Amino acid sequence: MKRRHQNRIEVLQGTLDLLILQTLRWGAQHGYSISQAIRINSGEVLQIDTGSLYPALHRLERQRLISSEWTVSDNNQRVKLYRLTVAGKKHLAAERSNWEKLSEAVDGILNPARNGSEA
Amino acid sequence: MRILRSWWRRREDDLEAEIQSHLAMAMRDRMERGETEDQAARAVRREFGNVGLVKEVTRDMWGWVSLDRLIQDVRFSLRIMLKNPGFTVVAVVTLALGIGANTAIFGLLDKVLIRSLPVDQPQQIVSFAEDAAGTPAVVSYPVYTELRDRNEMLSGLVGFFQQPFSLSNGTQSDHVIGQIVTGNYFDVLGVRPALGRFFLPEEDRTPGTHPVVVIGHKLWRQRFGADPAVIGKSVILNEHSYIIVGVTPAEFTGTTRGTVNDVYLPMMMQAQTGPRRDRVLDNRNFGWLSLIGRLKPNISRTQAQAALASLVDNETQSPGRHEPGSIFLIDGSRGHMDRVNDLSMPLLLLMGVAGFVLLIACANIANLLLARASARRREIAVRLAVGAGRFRIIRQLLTESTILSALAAITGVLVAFWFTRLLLGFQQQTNRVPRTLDGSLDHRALLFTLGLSLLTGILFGLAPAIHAAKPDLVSALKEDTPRSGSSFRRFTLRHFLVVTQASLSLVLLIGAGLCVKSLLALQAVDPGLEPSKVLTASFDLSLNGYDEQRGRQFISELTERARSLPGVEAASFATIVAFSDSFWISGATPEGYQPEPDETLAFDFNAVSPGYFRTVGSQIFSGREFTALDTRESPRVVIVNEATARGYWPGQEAVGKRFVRGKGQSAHFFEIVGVVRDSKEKGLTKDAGPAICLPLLQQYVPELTLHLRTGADSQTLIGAIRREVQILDSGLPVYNLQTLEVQKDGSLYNQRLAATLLTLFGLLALLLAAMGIYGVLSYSVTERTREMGIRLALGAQPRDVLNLIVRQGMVLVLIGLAIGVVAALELTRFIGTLLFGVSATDPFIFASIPLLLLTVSLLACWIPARRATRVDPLVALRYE
Repeated sequence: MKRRHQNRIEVLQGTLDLLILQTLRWGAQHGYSISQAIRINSGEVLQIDTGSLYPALHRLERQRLISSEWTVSDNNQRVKLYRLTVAGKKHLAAERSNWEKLSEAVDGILNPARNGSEA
Repeated sequence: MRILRSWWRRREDDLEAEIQSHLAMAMRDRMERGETEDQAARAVRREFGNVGLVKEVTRDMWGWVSLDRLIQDVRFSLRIMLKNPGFTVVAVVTLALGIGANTAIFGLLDKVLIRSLPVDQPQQIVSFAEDAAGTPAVVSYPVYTELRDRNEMLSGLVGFFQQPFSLSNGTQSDHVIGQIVTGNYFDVLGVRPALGRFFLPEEDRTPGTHPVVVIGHKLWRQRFGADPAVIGKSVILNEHSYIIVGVTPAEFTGTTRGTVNDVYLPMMMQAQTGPRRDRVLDNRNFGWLSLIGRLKPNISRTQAQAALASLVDNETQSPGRHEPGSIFLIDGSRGHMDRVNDLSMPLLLLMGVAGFVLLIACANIANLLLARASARRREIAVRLAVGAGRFRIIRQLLTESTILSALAAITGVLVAFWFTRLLLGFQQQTNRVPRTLDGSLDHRALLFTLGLSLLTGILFGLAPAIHAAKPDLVSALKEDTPRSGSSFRRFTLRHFLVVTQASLSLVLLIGAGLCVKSLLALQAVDPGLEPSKVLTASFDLSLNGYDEQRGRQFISELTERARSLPGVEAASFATIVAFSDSFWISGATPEGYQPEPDETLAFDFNAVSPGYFRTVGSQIFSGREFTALDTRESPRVVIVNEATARGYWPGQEAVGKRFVRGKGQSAHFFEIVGVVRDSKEKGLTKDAGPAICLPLLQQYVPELTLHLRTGADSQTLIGAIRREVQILDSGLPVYNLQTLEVQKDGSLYNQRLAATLLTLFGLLALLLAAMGIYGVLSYSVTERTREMGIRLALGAQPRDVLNLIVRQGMVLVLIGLAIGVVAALELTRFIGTLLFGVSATDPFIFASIPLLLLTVSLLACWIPARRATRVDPLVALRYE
């Protein structure tokens, strides 16, 4: 609970779902690589806490938006791979357009005059 | 369960593997970037955070309706409970006592008063009474047949008569209970035989031609070893041989609640059941049959009653004493209730009280759980913070309380078995037709326990759970010790529970105190005879076919033999036993007495052999006892009690005065030869009524009880008496072998039941309340350690701190006691009818019981308060 990630942005639960689904868009991945992908693709801004990631993965799996399978990695370790389901793809599309609308709206409020970012 | 568990384990293993693979990959990444294994391992651990917590919150996502969640909750709860064995044991034991007591009393209440007869459509059964209060109506056999054949409201009407029988197989004889029933008895009730068959139509058509008998399940088990080959065998009942044709099902014991019938004989065998009974079936004016009928579908009780009443009026043109003038149909779904009606008040009272105690126990555990929940505030806050639903937390806490109550239910069933024995232990077993209360626990009682334990689990678990699930997250996570002010809400709930406990236990203890005082008063009553010195043994000579001559011979021979037994000071016979509920009420007119127009001259009669009053220890005031010289040939004599003497010859010597019995030709005079002291043998709570005693030598009665006056051990004498009877007639059953003291105690069954159980419950409630107060205060002392430290550091004396804490507890207790006293004043009048020699607002009890409670609670406050005074200010201030 100490303030170690002050320069990083905390991710809300709904947003995290969206990020996970988006990350799985290009193929099956395991938990660690999902968190790495999000960190790298956000330019090190978004750090996903494992205490949020794994509950989210298990919840999405229960909601049948993603499915999982076990494989064995190169160094002989059991690895759980997650992939998008058809329902997950639909959900992602819907959530994406929602997000874009929201993002545009928020952006419009924050920057009434121009399009751009200072963040 | 095993499959479930292995499935659960696999899921756990998967989660572990998933996390391990995450850690391994993170390590590899870091080591590829050039970190040492050591550095990488530490960094990865730090980055990942608390593995246990991640697992915990991940598991929370597995869904809360699935079984694995439940198993996890159960395991977690068991872990928590094992960590606090003291709490667990206290909670389980107190709850078990509460649940056990409730189960036992419910079991008895249900079997005695609530459940329907095990017959077809019991709601259609109606019972015939002579008044609205339900006094059973009796009619003669001819009236029965007319009612049966001419009514249009009932699909069936049965008559029955209950009496004892002497059952013998040639070598062994027993006193058993049976019913003489009309042939349609089992058909109308819709009872099916467990074995064999019930009566055929031809077996109830012609008198004396079909000696068949149906035996009860209990007799079949106990006497015949549940042998299926019993059908077709013959048994001897009252000197007459019968063929066994069927066995009743185990759950059916007859239509008179509180009695168990061993044999059922068809009506047409009535003349063979005893001497002088050959004219009974034809006698229109001799009412003896109890009636139970089955309503036709869609006929209401009131409709049927109206129709039957007009029928009865037509039938009874000639007014006979036993003809019912009117008929009341009362609910007969539970059978005839007259033997158990007096139990309804005490049993309902005890049920209410047992419920009370359970409530106190629940309040106590709720309180303990509240304290515990506060101790787990941080853990719960963490779980809420990472997104575990509030409902999840409540569910977890409820699982815990449900497990507690389930454990308590299991223990409670054991308690219930013990308790049932206690409940039935005071039972009176001393009548010609004994009352048998069945309190054995069956599936209904166990279902009740199950429901009760679930209910209590939710009752004491829900409030603390809801409470715990909404802590102040910020302060809980900051590991802040709450100040007493910030937890004010929690405090009020806990305080409320303590106040409730104090008041409830006060009410119970006052009730217990009143009942105990009343029982002591009853036991101190001088009964007018010496029950502890008298042993009784009863015989029913008529059942074994004794005529008067043989009976008289038996009486004189047994008296002779009994008198020669070592330790026997005196021996004599009487027909009515003191403190039993058998009675003989008859008429007699004092010579020259002019009764008022509506005055009935009725006396309690008894017939005794010479020396009876000396045997039982009754004092003859004036005149003499009966002697061997008062025979058939000598003048008719009687002994009366003081009440009779005072009532009819006030201020005069009654000895020498005379009674008249009978009219015209058959009128006889009876001269009073003695006046005996009044006794309380008709009930310790009643004043003696007028009584008349006849000499057995002049008035033969076949139902007799031998009375022995002895200082010796009654157990050895019981064996000796059995042997003597065996020598005289091996086929004659003896019953009621016990002292009059036991009989006297038996007559106080209701009072003893109430006093014993209320005391037990009251003490339990007191213990629970003391524990409750102690728990609240010690929790509060722990929470205020720092405050106490500051007070002591600033110069407060230990005495001040002690006072502060004790006052905090005692204020609650005093509020509770005040409420309790008011409630008790209102509630004790419900037990007024059970009380004797003590008012329902007895000042001694109402003063001493609160004092007792005050003392106990003071002790319960003092122990934690002492702890507060021992707080080391330095340690307390460094705390945090």
